[in-house]
Amino acid sequence: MRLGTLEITFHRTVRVPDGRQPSNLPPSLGRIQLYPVSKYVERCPKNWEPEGYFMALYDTEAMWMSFTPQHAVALLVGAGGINALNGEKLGTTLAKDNYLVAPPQPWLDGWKDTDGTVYQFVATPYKRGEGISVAEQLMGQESKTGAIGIALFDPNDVKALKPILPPMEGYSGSIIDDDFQWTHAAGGYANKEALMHCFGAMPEIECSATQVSSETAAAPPTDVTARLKCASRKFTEMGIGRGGKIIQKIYPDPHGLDVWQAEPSAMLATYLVNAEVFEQITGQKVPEPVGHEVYQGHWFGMKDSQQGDIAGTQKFSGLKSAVFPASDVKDQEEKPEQAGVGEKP
Amino acid sequence: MKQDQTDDVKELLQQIRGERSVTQFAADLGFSKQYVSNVLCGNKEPSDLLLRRAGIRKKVTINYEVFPGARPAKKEKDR
Repeated sequence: MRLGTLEITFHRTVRVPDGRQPSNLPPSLGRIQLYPVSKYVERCPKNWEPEGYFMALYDTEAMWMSFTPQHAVALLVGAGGINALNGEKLGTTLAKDNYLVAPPQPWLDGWKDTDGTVYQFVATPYKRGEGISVAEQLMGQESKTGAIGIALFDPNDVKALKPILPPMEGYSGSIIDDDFQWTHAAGGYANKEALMHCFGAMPEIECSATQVSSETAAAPPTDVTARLKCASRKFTEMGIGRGGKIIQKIYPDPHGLDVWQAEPSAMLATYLVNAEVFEQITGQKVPEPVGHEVYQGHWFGMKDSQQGDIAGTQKFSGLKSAVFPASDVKDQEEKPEQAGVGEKP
Repeated sequence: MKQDQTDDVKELLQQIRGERSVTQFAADLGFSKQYVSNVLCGNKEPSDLLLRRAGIRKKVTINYEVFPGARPAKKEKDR
């Protein structure tokens, strides 16, 4: 998805465990296809922005986003109207520690905590303020949508910025160990060789929703009743909840607040819809989500011990999990299906 | 930038160019003739600097449901 001078890619990924132990960065299981709201306007809620986009995710499916800019950009990122880095209402003004800068930031996997970790972005039904998306828990009825919002700020003078590279990227066979094989500076995309290994081990997972062939696409309903039912059916909106912890720093702005333009150059609203309903309506197959229990491929990390980390917030730590909404963290660790970090089920 | 937006900008640039030749227009903006020609033909997207020098300001619409913390724009005072 092109946003101004930036290429943003949303990735399906492995849902990490929801205990206290943070996981390494999960892989990409393929790009998530974005659909323009304008092409499905009769299926979408009326309040959706016609110039926005939407993606299809299953309940409790995890995702992350990668940034491939032409030059350094500053980004405000949030979901449901909540800034993912400080837990405040998502605005359009840059302030200390409420934004990220790419490069050096290649990826964002979740809601920022205070200890060098994030809580994974996990899809959950949006219920007009009654649900357990992060925004609904923090804002209640004030939350009007579950959409991901991104505002891009260009520098005042591109040439004045010193070139910055992202830290080196590595991969490991373990979800928690840090025995990484270091590869190269992350270009905003997970290591392709490792990803191929992942896909080779899990052939049933499609690499990309855009690559789904006609043979694998679900057949649209054929009987008249089902067709009529589908004809009036609308997409079901999802929001972004709080998943398990992942080791990820958000690097402080290496250029300083003053270098960025005061107003965003481009803004993106990306809504989320329930993948099952999306499949029933469109007949387009959405790859099934994958949990850490079955994933056998690589995990990732950044060689960034020398890098700083923005302040983050503890606002997300007390919220209900999107994966185990009825339990608190203590309960989750006692559940038999909740394998400990790094344990095989 | 979406195609329809690109077309709008292209048209706007043509209006600003007026009767000027591409060579003169490019020189006035401080860009190469080839680059400006490509932008006018729609083969390249105009850079922010080109838009600024041409006097075009990009308008970004704020969705207050997605960005509820956005400050409403202050009304410009009469000069």
